[in-house]
Amino acid sequence: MFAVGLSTLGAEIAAQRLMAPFFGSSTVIWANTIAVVLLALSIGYWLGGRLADRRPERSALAALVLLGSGLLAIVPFIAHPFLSLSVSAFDELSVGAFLASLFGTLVLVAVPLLLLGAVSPWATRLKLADVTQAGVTAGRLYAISTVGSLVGVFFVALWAIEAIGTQRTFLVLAAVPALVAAAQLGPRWLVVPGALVVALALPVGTTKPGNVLYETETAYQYARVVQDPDGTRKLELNEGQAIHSLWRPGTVLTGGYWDGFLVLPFATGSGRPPARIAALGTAGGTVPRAYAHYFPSTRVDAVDIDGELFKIGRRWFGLEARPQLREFAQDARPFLRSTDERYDAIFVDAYRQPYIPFYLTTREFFSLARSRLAPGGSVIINVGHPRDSQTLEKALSATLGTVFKHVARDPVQTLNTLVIASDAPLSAAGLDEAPAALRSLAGESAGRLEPALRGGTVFTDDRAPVEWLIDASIVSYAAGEEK
Amino acid sequence: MRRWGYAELVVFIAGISTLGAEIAAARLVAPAFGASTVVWANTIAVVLVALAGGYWLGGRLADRHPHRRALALAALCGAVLVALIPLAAIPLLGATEDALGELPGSLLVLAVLVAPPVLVLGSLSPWAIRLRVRSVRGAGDVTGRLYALSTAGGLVGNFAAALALIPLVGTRWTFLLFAALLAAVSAPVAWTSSRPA
Repeated sequence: MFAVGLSTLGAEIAAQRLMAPFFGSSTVIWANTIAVVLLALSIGYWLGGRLADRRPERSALAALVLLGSGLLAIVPFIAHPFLSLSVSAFDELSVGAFLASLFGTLVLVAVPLLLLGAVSPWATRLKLADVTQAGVTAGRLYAISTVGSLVGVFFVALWAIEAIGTQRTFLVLAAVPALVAAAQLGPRWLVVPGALVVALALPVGTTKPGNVLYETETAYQYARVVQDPDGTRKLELNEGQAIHSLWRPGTVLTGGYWDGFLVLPFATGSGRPPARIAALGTAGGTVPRAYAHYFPSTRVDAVDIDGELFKIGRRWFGLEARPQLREFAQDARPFLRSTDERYDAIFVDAYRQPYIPFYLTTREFFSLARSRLAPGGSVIINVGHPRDSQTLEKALSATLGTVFKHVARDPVQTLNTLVIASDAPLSAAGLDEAPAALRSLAGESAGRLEPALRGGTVFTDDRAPVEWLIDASIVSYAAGEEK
Repeated sequence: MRRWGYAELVVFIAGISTLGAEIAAARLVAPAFGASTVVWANTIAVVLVALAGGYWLGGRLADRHPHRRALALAALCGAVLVALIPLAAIPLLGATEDALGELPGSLLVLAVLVAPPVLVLGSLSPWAIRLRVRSVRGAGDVTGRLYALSTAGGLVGNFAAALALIPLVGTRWTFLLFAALLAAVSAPVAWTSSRPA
């Protein structure tokens, strides 16, 4: 029971990570995974109970466990054709093929979980000697299985995925119950766990095709660095639909929204570059690198929840250690709460694709940010949004409006808007004060700067349906593509 | 024996409330302590340890009080504790978020707020099995069905919380609605029935 509990919940986490590089980790994908796992377990319980009453024997239970673990072990190997299909489907924006590959993968995970689910009632039946003891017996087995799950989750999430990768994690998860079952069935069945241990030595291929300079599993996501033919490097996380950092040879400018963070702080009319900034959600460090070039004396506090990304930034994205730069591998909100600094500008660019974490979009969060600003300072948020969808930007503008006196927007790219908020008046005229080297960039930004969108709902810590809004726009976008 | 009875209903609803409360709990602590791996691991650990403790305890209590009313009383107690989560959260989070770091802070808040109701809800499953098992020969069937119902309830609770309630009514009301659902199922029996199941 313990071994099976360990495998089932561990496998659920590993399955999410198996799919994240291909499908991402949006609520839609998450909900499908959970639904399939729980349904499979549920059917397994029901079926296991019926079978147990017919064959209340230890050997039958052990055979079932062995079969379940064998099937679990082959998941990562046969999953690849399905997953590769998803990549081409993604590129061609074919929703049907994308869904087919998603469900193919999920069914693959569901079958072994169904078998392992059948174990719990079976074991209860075997252990039960007397009806008056039913409570204690059932309770103890439930508890043992739950403790097993706990160990499985921690093993997978905190150690195995990062240390040995998804493929080998599946093998270890399968080998543990297989070993227990084989011990029950007799020595010649030890072949099965033996084979699983041998399979650990199998090489692990590159997860995804493409010109990949580097790829890794961090505690939070699948990260890879991709290089274009012209030498441009991009940091992709999970399914890679969004680019989190950009490095181009010979320049620190990106031609993307990141450049806006260099000039927009001037919109407050301060007439000087910010002396101290906090970049929440630094990723590979595109913004700190640009600041090091144009405003070397500005003190930068770079914050990202995933410390691994700083290492990637140093190696691939030109993030250089210097006295003006401090790195914090911390969640943005606890960081801001604990800091004693006062910033001239706070940049919010934290994403867990495709979402901004909800607790960085609320009135409570913006009040906290305001209290960490020096007089006249500003908060600038990158709002990524699907084409023609303005609901999220409106909500963020409305929420900022409850905390700050002035809010303005710079629609810097088709899919990104920078929203700036401050207690100082915001004007395009202020951008003229940007240094000569950035004059053209500042001019473009000044041309786009306009009052914030109106008519959004105010988000609070209690109710901030970020995921809901983004899912709705993704679904309507996908539906539109189908027609 | 009737195949579908009160015990089945309680287990299903308890499954809904447990997973629903777990999802909402993660949402409750994120503004104060963030959503780093440490906080996530604490949430899972506290919920699973509390469940394991509840299963074990519930089994023992069930053999001592194998009555429908006792099960209903336990379920009612669970409902009250779930309802207390959002009410106790505001003062508790206010007192801890500045004083404690991510690890001790989130662990303390979760242990105080979330562990007690989850423990009580966990105890309902073996209790229900005890009530429904009439003979050793049919034990597999009963256990399997109750396990399946509790998991199906978890599925419903998970989706209801993540996809509907939290975006529509907010985190605090999500807790209260799940508590009300469980109370509605348990209160009538806890008050009136003294017959064994």
